[in-house]
Amino acid sequence: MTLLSVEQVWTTFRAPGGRGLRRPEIQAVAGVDLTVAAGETVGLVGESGSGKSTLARTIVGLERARRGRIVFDSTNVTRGWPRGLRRDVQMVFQDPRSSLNPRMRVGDIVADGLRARPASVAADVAKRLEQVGVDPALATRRPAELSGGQCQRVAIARALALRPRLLVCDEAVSALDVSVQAQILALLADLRAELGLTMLFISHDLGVVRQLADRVAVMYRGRIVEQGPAEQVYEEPAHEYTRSLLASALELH
Amino acid sequence: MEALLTVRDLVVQAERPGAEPLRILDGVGFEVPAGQTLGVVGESGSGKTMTATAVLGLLPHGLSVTSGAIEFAGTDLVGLPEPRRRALRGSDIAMVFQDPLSALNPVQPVGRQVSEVARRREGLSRAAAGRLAVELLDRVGVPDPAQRARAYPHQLSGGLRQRAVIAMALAGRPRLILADEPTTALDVSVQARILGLLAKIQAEDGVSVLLISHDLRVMAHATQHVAVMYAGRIVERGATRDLLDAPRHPYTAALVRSVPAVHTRTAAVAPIPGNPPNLAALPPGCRFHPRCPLAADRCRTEAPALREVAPGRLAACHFAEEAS
Repeated sequence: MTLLSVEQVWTTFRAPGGRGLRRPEIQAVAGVDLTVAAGETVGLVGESGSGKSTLARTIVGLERARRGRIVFDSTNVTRGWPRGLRRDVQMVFQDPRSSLNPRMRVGDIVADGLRARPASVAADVAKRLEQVGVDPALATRRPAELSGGQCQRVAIARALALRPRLLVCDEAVSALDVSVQAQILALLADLRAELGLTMLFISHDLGVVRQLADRVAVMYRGRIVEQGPAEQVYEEPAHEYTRSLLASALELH
Repeated sequence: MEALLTVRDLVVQAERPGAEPLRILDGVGFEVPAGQTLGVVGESGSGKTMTATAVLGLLPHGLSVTSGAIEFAGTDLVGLPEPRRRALRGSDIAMVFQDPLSALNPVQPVGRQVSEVARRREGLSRAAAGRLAVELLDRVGVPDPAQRARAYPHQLSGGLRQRAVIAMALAGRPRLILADEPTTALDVSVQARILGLLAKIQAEDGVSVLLISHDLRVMAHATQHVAVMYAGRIVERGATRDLLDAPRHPYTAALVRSVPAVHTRTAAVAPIPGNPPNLAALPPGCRFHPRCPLAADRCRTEAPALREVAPGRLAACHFAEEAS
């Protein structure tokens, strides 16, 4: 079953310089088609400036699509997510320190998410923190007192407290040390199995995406130039750009 | 092999009001052989950048080298008067950092910045230095170098900026290039090209490189020797290929297992449990033992020394012979 479908979506910006409508139009997302099935993890790869973050922000409603249609579970969300559906999509960003309120305690950050779901107001923050591998004793701390990896776990706990059906991760492990990155990847894989999460996982790191993705979409200059089952894209890339991207990736062995 | 840079038993301490000084680096030692690249790899807080900063003599206020030696071409840099150290920086010892924008002057064309270094180093005329700058920009692979020499840093892409910084480094005719995460902020496709450029310069000029990175894949591509740091100490050293293929220290082995492969389908990465220790509250014995799968009683009490465990390979583990 298709949970999310993106149909011919365009997101454009006016470039700085020049005035009003004479400013050149930048097509950050230029006619993208993408579907994510329930329970599936789709990896979105591409270099900086390829439009992958803009696409993610357009899907969750942080940017408005100029053209095209975004459908979530048969509801058109192109012009914004209706109140009843907003909690169904959550996002985890690259830098947890800028996505978490620095003045709030960790426990309250996660509790906010729980309160948003009236049925689980009483649910235990400690349980949520434990689920993502954060010592519940840290609930009274503020983000600045935690390591980057712990902050990212809190960001994941906050996102999951709303029990979303779609989790969008935008470079969620890119700023982390390799050992912490491995911990967070393992955590996401566990949570996916446990909660049946659907994920759109965005990263410039081809190795990281290979770890998690069932299907992969390759973005270049605002367009998806290739998409398919992960193994097929990695083993038999069809598009010239995908081949050059794979060829330039550094390997350990 | 003659070493251009030898660091011996380096200890760097941070003064703390009302407490014992904190040991940021605890007995760090390595050699950068002439004309070769040594990589220093470690995670945030391991001390790798602090090591580079100490070599440059740019330790932040409150931190100082309390013992050990940093020998560059036979001269101990520790205790060398600041004017002499300053004279080495930017000429004999060049620097390339993660963020090229912070290394470049935003209000001066890049060609001018490259030629300034050459003028200072060689006493060239403005015109001759300008021509040399264009030559160097060409050599580091900046397309259309005469044109680009007139561009300001913000008009160049990240990859071109880093090339301009490397051209600046070369203008000082360095013997050692100290590169701290030089490709971390760059796109994957650009990363490989910048590392290739460093290798080409090394082959042509015989320059030595000290390459600092958190990324083992960068080590695999761009270094001949590698030193692995953990909590202020070097835990393993050796020839890069051997070390990555058959690590002798459990921390190195765990790091290697944490790197996701691109070209082969592999089992899920195996994370190391726990976090690196706080330097103010180090565990007794081996600093890695609380996270180590091989930890035994001895590890909890006795800190392992860095010792030769195979020809050319050093590891600081009581069980180095059993690891890997």
